[in-house]
Amino acid sequence: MYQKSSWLPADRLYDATSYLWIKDVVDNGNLLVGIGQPTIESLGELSYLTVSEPGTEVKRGDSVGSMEAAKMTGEIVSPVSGTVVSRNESILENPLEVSEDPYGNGWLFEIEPHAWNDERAQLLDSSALFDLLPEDLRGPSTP
Amino acid sequence: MDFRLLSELSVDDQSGLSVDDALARSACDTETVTLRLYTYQSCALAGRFQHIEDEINKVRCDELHIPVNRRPTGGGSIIMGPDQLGVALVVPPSSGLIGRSSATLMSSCARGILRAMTDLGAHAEFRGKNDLVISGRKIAGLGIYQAPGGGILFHASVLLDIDIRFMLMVLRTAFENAPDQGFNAVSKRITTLRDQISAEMSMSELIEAVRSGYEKEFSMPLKPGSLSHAERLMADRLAVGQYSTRQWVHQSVSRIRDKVGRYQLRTEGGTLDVRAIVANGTVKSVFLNGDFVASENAICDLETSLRWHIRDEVALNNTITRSHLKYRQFWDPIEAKDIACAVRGAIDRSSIDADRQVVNACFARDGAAS
Repeated sequence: MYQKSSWLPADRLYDATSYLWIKDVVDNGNLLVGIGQPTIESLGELSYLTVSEPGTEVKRGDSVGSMEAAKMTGEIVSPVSGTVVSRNESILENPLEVSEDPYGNGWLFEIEPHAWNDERAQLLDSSALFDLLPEDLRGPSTP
Repeated sequence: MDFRLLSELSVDDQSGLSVDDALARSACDTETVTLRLYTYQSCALAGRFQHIEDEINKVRCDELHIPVNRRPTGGGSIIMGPDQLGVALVVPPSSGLIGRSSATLMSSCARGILRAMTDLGAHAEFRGKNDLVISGRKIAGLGIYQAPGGGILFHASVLLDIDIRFMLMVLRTAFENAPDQGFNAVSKRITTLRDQISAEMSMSELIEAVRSGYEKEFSMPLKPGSLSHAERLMADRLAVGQYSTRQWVHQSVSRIRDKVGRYQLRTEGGTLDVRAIVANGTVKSVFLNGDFVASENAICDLETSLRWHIRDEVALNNTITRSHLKYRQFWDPIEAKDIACAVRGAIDRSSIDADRQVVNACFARDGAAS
């Protein structure tokens, strides 16, 4: 898969509206969800963060948490339907970890998807998201 | 794109908040930009992630029959009432404003208010994360909330006037036992349109000026309108299901509690007594006291510049240096490095604020408590 920007790793999918990333978790069929670099560049450093408790069932488009960043507050909208299996407790104590390592230790929550086959078609690969982003959120192009 | 104007006077807290929220949530299905200009019945509103018990004197509110609620937008606690204008600008994702970097969104959304103030003869400017100031003194607090669906709610509370003593009674501050000291400290740091323009200025004059300011910025007339049936239903549902519930108002929000630190530094120009409120990696507020001599504008500019500042030494030093340079003659002989040292000291010493020694309200920030 072709990666156009170092801000958008090609090993995962992205939500076109929130720029959240979604990645398969090794072999249990669950998905990891996190905040992408374009969102961090847009919102600024995160000051406060909440994520729904494990066991919470959400539909795609439902709020699954909230955040206050340097420039705005907002809901974290789930990009997939499913049951929250776990959340990253560390970032609830230190939201800056999300900014420091958004695609690694800064993940938000793990979800057991309920309609993955249908919903994955509504997500974008990194190249498609790159083309959709405003220029100032695309990040440095990869050679 | 249509441009709609909604105006109401004296709404209750649940209605004020739920209509704003419903407009933002409904915006993804519309091609309408909505400007809502309204006033509240007296109430106290905490920011989205604040701990209510830290911010608002609930006992006093109950005694005075002042409702307490929580905004969807961030920032500090505020009182709203007949002399504070609520400005809600709701922008749909299709407007073209959405998708641009949030760095410019706040200032873009505030331009109509700035234009209104200029037309009225007051020269306000955008400062820091979310303030409009006149000569360094705050006249409006701003916030942005992005609703599920992508609609943007920009909200401002603009001070036509404010009863500082009432505010200090209702919000939890360091001045609960020293009201005169609190009054003096807060009045140096905020201003109102009645201070700036005329003691006779009315709310209807302000509403008309803000409406006109946004029309000029949009280059489009705003059409007076009302809520659609769907918006009304959603607002009613949010008023009952969210903004009137204990789960929302008194929710256990973020795990991160504010920490407060204090540092005193003797300098050639006097003692700098600095207090800082820190939330993890963010410096939320810095307050300067002491026996040094400097202009109120210089102090206000520095404090405003450091609000919601990233806790990074280099970035803090740069911000302090810039503000010091701007008012250099008023700081002399205190140097930027002295201020930076005292600010760093206060941040480094910050710890959980069990007794709430420093106030972090939107318009009532500590400046003189000692």
